[in-house]
Amino acid sequence: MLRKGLLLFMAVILCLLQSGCWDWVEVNQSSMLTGMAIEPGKNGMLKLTMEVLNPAEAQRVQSSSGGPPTLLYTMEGKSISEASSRMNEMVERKIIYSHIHMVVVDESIARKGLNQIIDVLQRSRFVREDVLILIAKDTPASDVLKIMYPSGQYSSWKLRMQIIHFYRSWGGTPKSTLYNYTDAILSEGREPVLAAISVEGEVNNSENSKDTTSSIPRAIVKCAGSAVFKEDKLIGFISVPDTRLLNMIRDKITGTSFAVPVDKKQGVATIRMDPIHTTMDVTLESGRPQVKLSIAGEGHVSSIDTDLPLDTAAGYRQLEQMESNFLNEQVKSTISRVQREFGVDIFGFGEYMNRHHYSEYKLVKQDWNGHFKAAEIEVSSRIVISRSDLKTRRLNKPDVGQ
Amino acid sequence: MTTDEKKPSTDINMESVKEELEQRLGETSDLASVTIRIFGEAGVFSYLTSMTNTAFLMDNVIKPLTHAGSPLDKLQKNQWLDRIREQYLAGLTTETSNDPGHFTDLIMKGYAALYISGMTEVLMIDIKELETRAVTEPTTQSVAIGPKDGFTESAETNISLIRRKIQNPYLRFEKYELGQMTKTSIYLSYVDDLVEKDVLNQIRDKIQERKMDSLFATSNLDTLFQSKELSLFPTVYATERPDNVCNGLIDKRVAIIVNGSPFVLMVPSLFNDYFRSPEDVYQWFSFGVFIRYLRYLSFLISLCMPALYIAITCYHQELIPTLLLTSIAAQRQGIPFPVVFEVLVLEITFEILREAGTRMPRIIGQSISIAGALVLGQAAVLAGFVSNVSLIVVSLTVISGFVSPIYSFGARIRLFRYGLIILGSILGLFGIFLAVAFLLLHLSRIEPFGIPYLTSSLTKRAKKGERNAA
Repeated sequence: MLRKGLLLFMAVILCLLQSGCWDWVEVNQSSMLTGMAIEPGKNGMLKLTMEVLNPAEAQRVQSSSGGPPTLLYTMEGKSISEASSRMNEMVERKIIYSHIHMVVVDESIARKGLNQIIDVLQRSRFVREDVLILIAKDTPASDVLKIMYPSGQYSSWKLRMQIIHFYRSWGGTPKSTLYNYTDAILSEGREPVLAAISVEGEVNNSENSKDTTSSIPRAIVKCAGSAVFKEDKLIGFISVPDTRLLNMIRDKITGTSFAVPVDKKQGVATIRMDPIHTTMDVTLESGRPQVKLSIAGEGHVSSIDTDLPLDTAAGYRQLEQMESNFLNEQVKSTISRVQREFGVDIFGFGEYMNRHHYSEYKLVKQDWNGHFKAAEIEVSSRIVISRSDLKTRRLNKPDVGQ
Repeated sequence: MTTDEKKPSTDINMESVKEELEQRLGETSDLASVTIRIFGEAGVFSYLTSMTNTAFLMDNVIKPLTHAGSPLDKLQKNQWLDRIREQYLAGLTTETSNDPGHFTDLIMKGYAALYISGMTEVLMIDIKELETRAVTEPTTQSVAIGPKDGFTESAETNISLIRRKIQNPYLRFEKYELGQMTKTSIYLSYVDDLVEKDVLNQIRDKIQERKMDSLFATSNLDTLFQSKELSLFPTVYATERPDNVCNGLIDKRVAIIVNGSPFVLMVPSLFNDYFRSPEDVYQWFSFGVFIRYLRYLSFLISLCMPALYIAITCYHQELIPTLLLTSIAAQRQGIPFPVVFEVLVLEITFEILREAGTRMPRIIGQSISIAGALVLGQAAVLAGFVSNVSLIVVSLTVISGFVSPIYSFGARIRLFRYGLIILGSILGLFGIFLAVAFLLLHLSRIEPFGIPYLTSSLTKRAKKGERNAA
């Protein structure tokens, strides 16, 4: 019995020792890859800029030497996979790919097609589905990673937070993760959009950690609306306000504010909408798609420039009406701009038809984008303004001089 | 007192009694023999001064007997002993015996032997009085709210502590003697109409079959009640708290009291018992439940935490949120050892500290905490030998290990932890799952006295059985 047990024990230990530890990675001998920028290189190669974390600086737990939170390494290769697997040509540590936050793709590469880039991201077991795929507009993609920020924040983390919060507070950037891209590519009747970013200011003067001592950032990365794709090829950009309406039409918005013009002069009322929902119905009438959008939302007044009587229900009703009209107009103009300029359905009208009126969609399936261009749009809004922030009427002294 | 000189008038029987005693007990200094004269007859008292109270003997036994007149004259001599028992020693436990072996045993237990010449039997009077520790608060299982009494080394006290909590005619104490050298008395306690007869008989058999030389503490009995198969978890519950035992008795357990040990054993014990403290019931219900689940949680932490930490940081970095991994990586920069080594060294250091802390005299206990906390903890981190994260993980683990109300349970978990650490460091999460699966399999196979170890409570089990039968 004892002998048997001992033999079994030894066999188990042997198995463990034979197999074990092959993928052991010691944290202090490895580095996290947090961001990647892809640009065209020489001779048709890809130029990869890798943002590798310098953890002691990125997370200042102990006294730090003030070094940079990340280091950028540039590699050229025929494919991303080839270039990234040769990282140790320059880097002393093993690279951990699983914490990559974002992939910034240069505009010129995106115009040629994203498929070659997306494949490696989807295939790798380390890259998460929520990695952000961003398109650098009017700037080289690597510039986005070069800018340093105070308090040891590194570019990809800063940008990730920025995009998440901008989406939540205003809805000004589309959902732009690897998952969203794949989802759009695979769905019938909808073309992908990805978030566009651009750099403002002097990049060359913000690459040094000393440059972060100024309270005015010398260069900053900002959200620049959406990149519109046809299949996997970039065809153009839409602005931040249009992106917000795109999110709203697709019912993918959590909260936003509208500045509604309330009189002939410059007066506006700012309405914070939270929540706002859109339902669509797309049908085919004599070969032409009819899109009916109905927007329903609840909001409150966060500022107002005129003397609209917000202490009466009538005042609110007036404001609700104004906002509904404003929204209808805005939505129509955004859709018609997309119809006119790009002619691709990024709103998912075709997707809706495919799911709800399949027999009708079959007729237009072949050339949906062509039909989308000619689609007739009808928008109706039902907005409820439930309250104003602390005050009702704005401050004024009606009795002065009487 | 010294051994009395032999009187010329002593009877042959008297002679034989004394000889017998001397032969059996030898020249032990605590044996006292006092010659007295009762009703005109010579008599001798023999007792152990170390087991009895001499003053009590004088006041309650010798005085009444020597001051008595001689109303026994009319009686036959063989009726004397009965008369003495009824008239002069009423209220004391007495016994008559003519078997020298038996009355020597009784003398060892604190009886006084009275022999009056001409009698055929020896009268044994129980005058035992022992120095016992007062009933104090239990040291190993203290509660904030609830009864503060704890068992002592005296079995009689312990029995009384139980009896005064369960005033039920069905509460029984069965006496056995174990240990050929020590003749330690042990008591089985159970509530007759609740206990499962099957379990009780198994326990009786085990105690009767058991031969041992000496028995000083309940832990010697542990092995007796462990199930036959290898069991990594304790199946005998030792407690210092009477309320714990009473709860157990009501929940169909059998308690085993060993004279000389302040720990009372309860069998059969189940997995859940090690997470229950009587205090749970003394508090607000919701809080009691919360605390109980907290104990299960800390059991898991104590078992898996360091292994998970090693496995995840070494094999599965993708499971750690980025900022946390950054923080861990930042702290581990410049640490010369691999994580496993670091954790193992810290764990063993803590074990050494703990062992030193329990064994050393209480007065110098402070120096341990200074050396442990300052020198080992702070300095090791400052010097860059170990990282803060590892220290936090190991400290949390060690503290969680002490949460179980039963100390011996926590001690076992500590050993499994090392196994998990090694498996986790070789095979990663896969290894930990293997180990946990094995432990679960093992847990579900233990059946102390035929009752599955993972049963939640014996009462519920019985009710369920009744329902099934109906």
